[in-house]
Amino acid sequence: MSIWLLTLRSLASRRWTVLLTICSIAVSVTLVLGVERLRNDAENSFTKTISGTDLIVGARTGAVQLLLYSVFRVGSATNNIGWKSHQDFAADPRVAWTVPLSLGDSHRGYRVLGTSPDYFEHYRYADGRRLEVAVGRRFESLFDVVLGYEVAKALGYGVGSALVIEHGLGSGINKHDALPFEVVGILSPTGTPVDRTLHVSLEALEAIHLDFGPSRRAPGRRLQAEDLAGLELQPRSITAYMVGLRSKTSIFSVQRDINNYRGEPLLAILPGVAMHELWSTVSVAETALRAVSVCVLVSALLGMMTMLLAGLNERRREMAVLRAVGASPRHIGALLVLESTALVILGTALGAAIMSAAYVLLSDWAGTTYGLFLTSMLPGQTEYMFIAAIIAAGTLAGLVPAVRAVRQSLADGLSGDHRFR
Amino acid sequence: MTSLTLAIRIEDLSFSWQRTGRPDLMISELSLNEGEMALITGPSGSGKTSLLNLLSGVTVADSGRLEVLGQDMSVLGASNRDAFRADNIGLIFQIFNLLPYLSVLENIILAGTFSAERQRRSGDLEAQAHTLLEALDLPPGTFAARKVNTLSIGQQQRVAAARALAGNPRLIIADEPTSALDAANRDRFIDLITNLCRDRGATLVVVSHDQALTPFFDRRINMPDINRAMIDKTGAA
Repeated sequence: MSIWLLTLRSLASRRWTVLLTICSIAVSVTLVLGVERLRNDAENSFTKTISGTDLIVGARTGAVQLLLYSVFRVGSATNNIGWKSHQDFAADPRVAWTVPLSLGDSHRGYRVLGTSPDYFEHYRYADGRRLEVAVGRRFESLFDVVLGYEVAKALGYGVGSALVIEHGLGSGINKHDALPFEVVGILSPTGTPVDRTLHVSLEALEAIHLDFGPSRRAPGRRLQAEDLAGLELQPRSITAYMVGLRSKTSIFSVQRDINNYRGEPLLAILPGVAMHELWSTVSVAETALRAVSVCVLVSALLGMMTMLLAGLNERRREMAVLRAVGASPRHIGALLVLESTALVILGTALGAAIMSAAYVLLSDWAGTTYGLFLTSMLPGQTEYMFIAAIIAAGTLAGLVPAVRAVRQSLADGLSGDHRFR
Repeated sequence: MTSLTLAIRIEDLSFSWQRTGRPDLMISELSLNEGEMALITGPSGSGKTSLLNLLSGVTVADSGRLEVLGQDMSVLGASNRDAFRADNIGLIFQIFNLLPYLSVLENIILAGTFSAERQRRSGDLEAQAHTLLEALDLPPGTFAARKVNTLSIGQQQRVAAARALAGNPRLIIADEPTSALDAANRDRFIDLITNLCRDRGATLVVVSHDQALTPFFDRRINMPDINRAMIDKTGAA
């Protein structure tokens, strides 16, 4: 009968409290590891909101601000950039493609993006995923609009629905209501700002704004669709454009050339770098989340300590018997430490298993519903460090009841049972 | 050096529970031969428990000499005394001798958990446990795998005796082993354990307030007669 076996048999005899303790440790370990892994994947997911684009170019402003309005549709540009400068760089031999972005209008709180059909080709997210049209098709004629997943869902639109674009960001006063658009397609969910965007052609945006331009219309009469026939709808300015290069090695030279462009003040940013910069600003929330999960873990360990301490009094006889057959107080202490370590190891293993299982089971759902791509299926290095730290903390917590048991068995002397008469 | 034929030798021993208090136990001289069966009697407070704690090495004397099986107990450190007890002393308490989560057999071989020496001396501890169960009227076929809480008190005490004897310790100490038993069970228990000790040449020290046990023993030691601390107390009163 080894001391290991003795520990196991003793634990087995208290299986219900032991099981509850293991479960509470497991739950908090799941939480701690889950938060850690989610944090990792959220960052990954976020910083890959746009991928495959080498540079984003806009009017000169801050890098994060350009990123916010061009990719996240947050805030708005202070200046537009000229179509000509866009054309200049689109023709550069180092540039493989450009996709113009024109923002500034909205529909019931959702931003409208005017772009070229190439957008659907070149906009990539996560690990190079493309935008997919779930229902219908991409825009082809002037008044076609393709909705992001959330727009269609929230506003209840389907293919064939008609909608009117509002000038500006949603006061609802200046409506281009003489020129309604028709929904021709709805995109699959991506978990990116694309879900909250309405996509139309650049020309369509130009067309509806003619209404506000130096008048091509008689006073008191609003522009009608038939007035557009034969008009030149090439925009004179856009908000920003995405750039894809033939070779990654030219990123910095192209970026420098754009930033030094003489025609107008431009800014070119590397989206990945800017997104990491942006993410670092939300790291406070990350720290708070981690702190909460560590608190849960501490409470679980305290719970285990309480369970072991409360059990000590009932176990005085057990200790006395062990002392009688020659166990030293040190053995008694070792027994208690072994016990708490076993509990923590079992709890941690269970917690890690629950977390991994949940990850596998929920990864599809999280991707489509929240655009959170659970990519790390195996525990990372930080997680192993967490696990090691948890087990160490559990062993430390086990020292408290162990020390108490040693004191108790010393005080009780040989006849631990005289207290039970 | 002490003669090897002495199981216990005490000279001018003094012990008190509180380090600074007046002694609870003072014995000028007491010797027990190896193989002797001794009954220690006396009212509570007469120093029986103190003596047992000293003999089994759980506590040490404040002064004087105590040798158990030729070993001077005062020179051993705490963990060496625990190891000495594991190897050489079989202990039986009044009740609660057994771990409730182990079977009868597992409780007996617990004697070998902290003593490789007892494992070795038994040859095969499990086989010896079976022999002892047989000798104690607990047929191993029926009892070895039983949970201890399904046993009567009398049966539990006999399992405790089997563990105390397993691995052939040279000294068996029992603290009020029969006080929870009825007269028939008491006599049977004492009869069995004294016979087993005699067969193995082990020394047996039983503490009991029950003087009816006296006929089973070679010698009866009355604590108030040998504990001078007690005599002083009563004298002062």
